[in-house]
Amino acid sequence: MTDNDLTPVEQTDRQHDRRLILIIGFLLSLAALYFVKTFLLSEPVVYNDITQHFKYGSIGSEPVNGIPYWIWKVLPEMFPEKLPGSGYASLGFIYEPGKDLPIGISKRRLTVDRVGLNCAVCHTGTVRESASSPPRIVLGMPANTVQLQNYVRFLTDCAADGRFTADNVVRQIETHIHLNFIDRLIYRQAVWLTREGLLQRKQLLAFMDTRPDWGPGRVDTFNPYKATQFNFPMQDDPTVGTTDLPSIWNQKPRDGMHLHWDGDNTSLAERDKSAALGAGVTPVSIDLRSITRIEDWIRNVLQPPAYPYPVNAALAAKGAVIYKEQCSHCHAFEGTDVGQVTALSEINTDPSRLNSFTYELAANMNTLFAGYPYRFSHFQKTTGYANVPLDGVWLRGPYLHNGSVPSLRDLLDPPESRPKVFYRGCNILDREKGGFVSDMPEENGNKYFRYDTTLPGNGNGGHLYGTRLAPADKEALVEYLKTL
Amino acid sequence: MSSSQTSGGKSKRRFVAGLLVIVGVLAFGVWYKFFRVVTVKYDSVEEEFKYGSIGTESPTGLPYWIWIVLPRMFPDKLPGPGGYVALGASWEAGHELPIGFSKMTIGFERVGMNCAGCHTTSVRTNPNDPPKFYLGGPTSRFRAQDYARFLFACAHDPRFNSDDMMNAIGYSYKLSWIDSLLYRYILIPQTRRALLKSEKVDYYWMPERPDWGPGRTDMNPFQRQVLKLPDDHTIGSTDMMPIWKERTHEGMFHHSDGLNTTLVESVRSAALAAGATKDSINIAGLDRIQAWLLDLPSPKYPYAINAESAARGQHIFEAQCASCHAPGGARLGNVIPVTEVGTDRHRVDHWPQSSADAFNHYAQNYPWAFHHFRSSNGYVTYPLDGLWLRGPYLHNGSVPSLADLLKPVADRPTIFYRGYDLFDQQNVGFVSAGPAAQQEGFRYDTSVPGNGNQGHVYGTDLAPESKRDLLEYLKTL
Amino acid sequence: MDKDIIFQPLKFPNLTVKNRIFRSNISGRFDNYDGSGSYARINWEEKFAKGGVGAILSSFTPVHIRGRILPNYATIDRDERIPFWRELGKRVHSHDCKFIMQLSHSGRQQDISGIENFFKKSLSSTSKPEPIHGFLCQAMTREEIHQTVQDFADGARRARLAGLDGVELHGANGYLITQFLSSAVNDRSDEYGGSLENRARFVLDILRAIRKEVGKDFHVQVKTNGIDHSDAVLFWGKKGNTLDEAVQVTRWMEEAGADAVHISTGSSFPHPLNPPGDFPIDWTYRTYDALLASGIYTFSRYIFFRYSALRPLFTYLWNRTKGKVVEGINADAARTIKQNLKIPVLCTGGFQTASYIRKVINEGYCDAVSIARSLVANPDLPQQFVAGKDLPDRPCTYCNKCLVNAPKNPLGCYEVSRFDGDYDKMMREIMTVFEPSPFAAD
Repeated sequence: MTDNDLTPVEQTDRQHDRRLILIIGFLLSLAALYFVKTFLLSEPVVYNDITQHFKYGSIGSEPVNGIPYWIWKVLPEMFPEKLPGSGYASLGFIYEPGKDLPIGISKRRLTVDRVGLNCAVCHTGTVRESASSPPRIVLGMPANTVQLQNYVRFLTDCAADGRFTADNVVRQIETHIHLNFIDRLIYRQAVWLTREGLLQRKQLLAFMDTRPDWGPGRVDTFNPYKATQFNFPMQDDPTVGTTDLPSIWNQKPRDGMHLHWDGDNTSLAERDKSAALGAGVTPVSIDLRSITRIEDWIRNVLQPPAYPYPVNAALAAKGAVIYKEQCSHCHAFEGTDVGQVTALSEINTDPSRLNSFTYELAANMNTLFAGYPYRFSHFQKTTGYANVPLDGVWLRGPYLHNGSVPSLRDLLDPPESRPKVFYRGCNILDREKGGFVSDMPEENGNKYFRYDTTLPGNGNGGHLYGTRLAPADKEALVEYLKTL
Repeated sequence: MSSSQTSGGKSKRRFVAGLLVIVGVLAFGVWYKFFRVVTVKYDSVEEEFKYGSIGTESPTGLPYWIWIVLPRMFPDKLPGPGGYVALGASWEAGHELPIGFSKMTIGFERVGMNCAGCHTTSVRTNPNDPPKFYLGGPTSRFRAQDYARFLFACAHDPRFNSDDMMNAIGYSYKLSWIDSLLYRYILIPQTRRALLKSEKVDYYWMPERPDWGPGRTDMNPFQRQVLKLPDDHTIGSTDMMPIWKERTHEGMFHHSDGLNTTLVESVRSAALAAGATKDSINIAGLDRIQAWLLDLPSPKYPYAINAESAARGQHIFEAQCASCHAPGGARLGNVIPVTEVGTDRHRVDHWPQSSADAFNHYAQNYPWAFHHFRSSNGYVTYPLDGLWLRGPYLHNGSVPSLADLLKPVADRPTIFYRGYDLFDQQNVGFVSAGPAAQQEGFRYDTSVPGNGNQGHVYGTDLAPESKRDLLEYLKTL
Repeated sequence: MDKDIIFQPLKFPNLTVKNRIFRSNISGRFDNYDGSGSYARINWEEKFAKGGVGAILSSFTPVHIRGRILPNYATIDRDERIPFWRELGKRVHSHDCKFIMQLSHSGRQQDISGIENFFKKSLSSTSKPEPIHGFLCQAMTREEIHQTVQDFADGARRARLAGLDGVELHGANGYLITQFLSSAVNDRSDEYGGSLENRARFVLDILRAIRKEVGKDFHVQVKTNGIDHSDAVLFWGKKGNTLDEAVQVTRWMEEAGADAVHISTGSSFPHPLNPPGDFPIDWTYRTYDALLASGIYTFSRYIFFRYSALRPLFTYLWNRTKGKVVEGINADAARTIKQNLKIPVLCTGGFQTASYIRKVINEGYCDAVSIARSLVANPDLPQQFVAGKDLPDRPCTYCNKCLVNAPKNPLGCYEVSRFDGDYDKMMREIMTVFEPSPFAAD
């Protein structure tokens, strides 16, 4: 027997101790798991079908810039006077029948359910044959009815309203569901945090109120970036960078082209990530797997729908010839200059968007996603606008980078003849001129957006190509363009 | 009598062994997180010049993530929008850091400065164009002094604390658990302390002196920071110099007042002034860059030149300027006494013999010790390679364009704006007036001590057409 | 051997002892619960007398049941105890060995109070709980002090009546007398507290009372601390008395009639420095449960003994101040004290090596050494020295396992390595204290 021998009781005690440690460890891990799951783990709603995923799936905008679902839900009920009509639909959001959330709003659980924006909010549009027809949803199309700016304004105005208090919000939520004691505490805290976050956002984006409104289907891509990503003092930056939302179908042939209206990036992946940042994703919250699913789909699968109405074949054939001679080298996929940047001095369209993407901004873009292998490294300052392919152009009105020309036919007129004022937001197809109906100020009480081309950034000059064609040729060309 | 054979002895040994393991792991962790050096290979010497390390990261570098978030947290302390670009940093498309900044891993990633920040010229042809960069030229935009001041201002701000900074970092990058602790408890408070200390100890001499403005410096970093000489209150604001074609400068005096006769010592002492220390200075890297500078060509004038006018100007140049400024000229690369050239004498008085002696004694025990520092009584007639983008002119950058230099002193601008990199083809220099220059540039007042624009009146009495021809010829240099 | 100082007699004013090896104060729970003595106790003491020590200093003998340290130790608190002590004394004397009774009172350092004291707090100079185990106590009133002084005097009287050779006052190791003497414990503001003179008043009162009771021709010695080292365990505690104070106090004791002093150390018992050696925490775990009901901190200490992950913490605190010295740990203090006294000085603390014992006596550190554990390990140690051994073949290892077993199990050597790893052999040796039994067949 040695000094270290244990009595039988001591030996058994030691075994029991080890067991106790395991049990305590197990219980502690359960507690830790619960804590992690509730407060740290983020669970998006998963959609197996890619189109559902595109419309409603989360790309990671909820964790930092999302709003708790129930708060988002009751805001239109609490502040109906801040909306032009009933609910978010009055801001142009698309609601599919039977769905609780509109296209473009995704949901993710992180302690509470939160909602955020995804790709579809800016890249899903609707089109109607006539005033009485039902709208057809087209995925990948520029979101022609969504009033993104007014949506942000609505949220921040609600936050600034004195009635946006924990008491009022919780009471309104409880008209929908019962909140238990813990949930009520969580939501009270959430109201406070949401309010702070939205007020901060309001302050950051206050400079937008000194610039012309975006209107539906448009966004100032990079000026908000300067404020939200880099905190540039915007009072020293008077630029206006508002542009039309683009389509995102058929991306594979665009690989290697200069992307964004001013051609500032040649990488599809970077463009997608920078767009995600615009939707409220952060370098840390980004859901790469979700975005990759969408990227693969828009690259390899998603195509623009064919023009659904009869096309005059003979006229279109005539137009095809003109197109080949005059337009294809910049706009056809096989064109020599497609995807290249045409110098401003040559194209002469409104310079505001080009100037808003400053060298300072381009330089700082290099620090986005720093620390990760996909740090942005393809942004550069260009000296003009990129030549875009025209696939599905029948759904991409209004035209030019800033959406200042309502129809294809108008684009073939010299600038002085183009409409000086027109209306955006109507999704009724203009089958004659190409584009959407743009002379209706309102429809059934819903006001459309009055687009004034004399405002800064809204200029409709430039792109004089084809303006000296004979009228019959212009008609042929427009007929051909419908087939793209 | 010992009793180590009891059970207490064995568990004691186990305890000690466990303690040794823990100490070993901790020691490894400390080396890994604070001292491990990751050497970087550069694709070319140009890349090394722009982004390589000269040894400033360890003593004066900033932890990488702090460097990233400072402009976003404190935009109010920058002169305008653009982050470090607002301080005149030149940023190439796709690169992680601006030219002149290097990132090096010594335990953790740190950002330091190198030669290229002050020796790369940024030039724009049109206001909305992206700039073009010319390596080796004097910087037209970079505000080294304001960069330091920006860092100090941030350190004074109560928002420079671990909570706020970790939030800012957390927006951009998810630090590992250990790195979070490292930043929160060590790097952020330490950096703040180091910046405040540096402001008091190394840069105390700045507030009482006139601002350098973009593209200028003086010998105070050498004298006060490196040599720790007491403040003699002299002003010596001087333009940055180009460092190309150094082979042709062999044998000449270096620095605008000729305070060193060798290139190698000028290179190394500049690294010390940029923040490297005797022990951290990267001699091997500097030697590579120096070898490259020997034959680095100066950039050719990229705009139109009227060949006939330039030919006429060449005759004037050979007659009036060549003896001091042309290859083969008798006085090329010599120190011209300030009484003769008549320019602002502050810089001459700024570097006394005692400073030269102190520098020659500095780093005595190092194989690369300095021996060739001297004081001088004038300014060097430097070769004019790449003259077109070396504005503003004279040693203190007090004359904005070559056209202005050919004007009599009374007609030269007394107030102009430097730091705006749009090129003025008419007057040969950078645009130094107008609303854009005012917004982006620094207000240069020639009445401020050290900024005087008198002297070098050679050519000021030429006929206007002759001046035009001479100007046209100078573009070809 | 004739010249060996160890075996030269030591003359006290009232006593002569045949050699310089005294068996120090040690015993086990051998007697009856109520304090009456047992055959095992007599066997125990006789073991050492047979082994050749010059004198035996008894273990603590409570002068009042309220002052017991553990039950099952014989007391001297009533006249009825005298016959037992007389018998014990005879047996010891039959081996030409002297027997000196240690009169003792636990004060607040009462390990197991016993059923007699369950519902009473122990008595002390202070009302502050004892810091290691959390024994509760109350400060003695003047009446209680005077009564206790008288109890000591009565105890001395009974010892003399029993024919014993002398008494020793237990004024060391943190018991009641130390609780008055030590500046780390005594927080009184009356004449028994404050200055050194006031703090020494209690022990000097006892000495004087004893002298009054038994006269000047009875051997009375005092065991006292050289240095308290009160801050050895809990480093936030006070230091306690210094050597200078001990020098002064022992001189007062000499003036008050002490015949010798016996130098030890430690503000508590056990103490990191007394008995010097190890702290066998694994055995402590097996026996500390006996003390659980005695104090308010015992359970939390027990947890440190119970869980191996926590043991190093306790061991660190306990071993913090220990040096390497075990044998002769108090020799230097004894020497300083001896330089200031005329009466002989005994010293205790790890003595086991003959050459070293010779050295400390010859060089004037002390006049004799008292040994406890080394004699438990080798009761015939003196005979081994006579046979020429400097150190026994199986010496005491100072593991202190005997000590931590004392409150619960029969006292003996529990170091199994001294028995070649044979646990049964070790246990049998421990059990020899119960032989011979008066009930065994012849």
